[in-house]
Amino acid sequence: MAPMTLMTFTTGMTSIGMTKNMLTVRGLSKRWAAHHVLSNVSFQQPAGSILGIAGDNGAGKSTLLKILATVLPRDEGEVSFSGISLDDRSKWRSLTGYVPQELALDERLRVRETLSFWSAARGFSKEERKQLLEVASQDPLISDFLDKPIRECSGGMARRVSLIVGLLGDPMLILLDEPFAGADRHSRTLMMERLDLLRARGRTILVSSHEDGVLESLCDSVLRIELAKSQSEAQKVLP
Amino acid sequence: MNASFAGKASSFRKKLTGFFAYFTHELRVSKVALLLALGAIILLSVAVRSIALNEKSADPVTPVDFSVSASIVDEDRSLLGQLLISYLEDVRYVSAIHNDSFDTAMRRIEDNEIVVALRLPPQLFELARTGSEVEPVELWLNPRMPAESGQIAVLVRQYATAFNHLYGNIFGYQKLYVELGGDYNDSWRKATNHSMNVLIMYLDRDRYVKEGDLLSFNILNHVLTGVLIVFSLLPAMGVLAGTIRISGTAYEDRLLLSLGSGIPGLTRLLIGAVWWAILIVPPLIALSGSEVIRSILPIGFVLLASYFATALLMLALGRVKAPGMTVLQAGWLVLFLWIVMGGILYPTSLFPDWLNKIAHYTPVYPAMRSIYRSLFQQGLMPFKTVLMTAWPIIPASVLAFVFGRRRV
Repeated sequence: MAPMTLMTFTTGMTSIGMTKNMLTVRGLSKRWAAHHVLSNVSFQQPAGSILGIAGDNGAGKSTLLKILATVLPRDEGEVSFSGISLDDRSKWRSLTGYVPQELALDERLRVRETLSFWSAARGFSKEERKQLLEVASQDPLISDFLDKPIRECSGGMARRVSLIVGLLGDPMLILLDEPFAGADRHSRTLMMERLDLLRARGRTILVSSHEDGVLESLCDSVLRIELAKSQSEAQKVLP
Repeated sequence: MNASFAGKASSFRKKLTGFFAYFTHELRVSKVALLLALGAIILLSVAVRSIALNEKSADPVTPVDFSVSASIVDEDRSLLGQLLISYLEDVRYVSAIHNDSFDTAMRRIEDNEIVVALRLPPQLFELARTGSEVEPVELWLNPRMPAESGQIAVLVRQYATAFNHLYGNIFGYQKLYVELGGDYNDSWRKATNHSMNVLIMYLDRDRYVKEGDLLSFNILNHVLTGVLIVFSLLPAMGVLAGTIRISGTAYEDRLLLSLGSGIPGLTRLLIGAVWWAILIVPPLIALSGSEVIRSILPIGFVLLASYFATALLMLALGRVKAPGMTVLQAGWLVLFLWIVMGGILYPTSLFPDWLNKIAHYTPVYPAMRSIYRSLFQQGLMPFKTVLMTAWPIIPASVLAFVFGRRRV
């Protein structure tokens, strides 16, 4: 039988009735053909918190984030944020920032051009783009290498640019898929400081990582996704 | 309501900004390749123009796809022979027409001066107009010019069929006239008048030469048409490559979230159209400048329609879930199939009959046929023909809409 994902919700975080900037996931399931990647996942996450998503490779961390980012359809379940359903894609996407596991940047561009391009792609006016670049020139995450081509950036630098691109538009719900992969210690520290700042500003943040240490030091709570050996075992654990 | 409208307007403005951002980004990253291609194509166009002008100055007479010189051996010596000579002198495919004796005509064939000699037997007109049995009209073809002789034989066969039909009708008309109680001699005179009027009307129509389906094979026109069509299809392969490059990647996820599902595909189509313009417009201007074609619009439209039909198909093909290299090879295979079945590599008339019939329904065939025909007419093309060549866009659009978008 194909392996199946088990979900264990490790930390209680909030009272169920709170909906303001609250992310609510109920009964979320996803399968590829007969293989259940996610099965009946439910949790709630309040504003101003960081939820870590832990698990081994292939457990379904990225699948969960992709579903929440609306780049992958779900099979079952209800998802809402601040009262807006995941099905209302236009509104949902305007509230969401997504940083994929891969860098997803055009290596032919410089960092400055990358920011300009993605902000224009998100509909920023010329004036807004100009302001954004002014802010970026003082942002400790990227100010040192704004004119460097992406292909010449180190892994950590590229990760920082990818994070900034995902944060364009100051989204309320931030989905980060392995944002620290390949990043050096300095880059990690800078990125974590930024996430702390965003948490303090009331943003709802989900971070996936297969490194437990990173999540423990950063997150308010951790959602652990595990690969099941069989479906019967999965049913024992699921509520 | 106002708030809703303002929201929609704002959303539209953002989409438009996003579209222009992606479009200009894609243009910018391929700027060098675009400029190099433009430079090369301008050089090529200048060379084509120069060759065309040289050809024109070497032969200032309006070029025709093929020309025929012929002799009429008029042993009938009636109105019919004079009418035939007078008619043939006005046909642009006839470069010379001689009124010879039979021996002179045979000598001209031996010397390769003429392609064909037509012998009208004695009393042809006199006997024919009274419905009597006549000696057949003889057609002598030059065996050392098989291509031209073959063309003429087809034409003559068509005229002969028409004349037989005409003759049968007139003879029947005359008999009817007599049965209705008319004077016998007067009936023949009136029947002859009627037959000559109809004959002249037929000749004036010139239908088999100017409007018929019989186009001789002209290698230069064929090559020119083929090159233009291949150039117009190549940008579609860029659309396929672009689609494969980002299909299913995180980069595409980001584009989807920023731009929506339709804009990335639309942008690739338009970038392909820019490539199309660079590859096609300079040669068309050069051909127009050297007066090979008088109007670039009909040919340009047909070529653009060919590009869009192919590019829309490639948008759908590019999203097939298979290794990128496999999909790219499939794309080249489709393109090659279209080129062969469209008659670009070989005229489809060389195919077996069943394959030739199938080829008529392939997407590139109407473009190839209409542009090839149009080059004989210096770029002119009926509006209906132009529209008919665009039919492949409709099924290709459906495929692109259903399969060519990243959907969630």
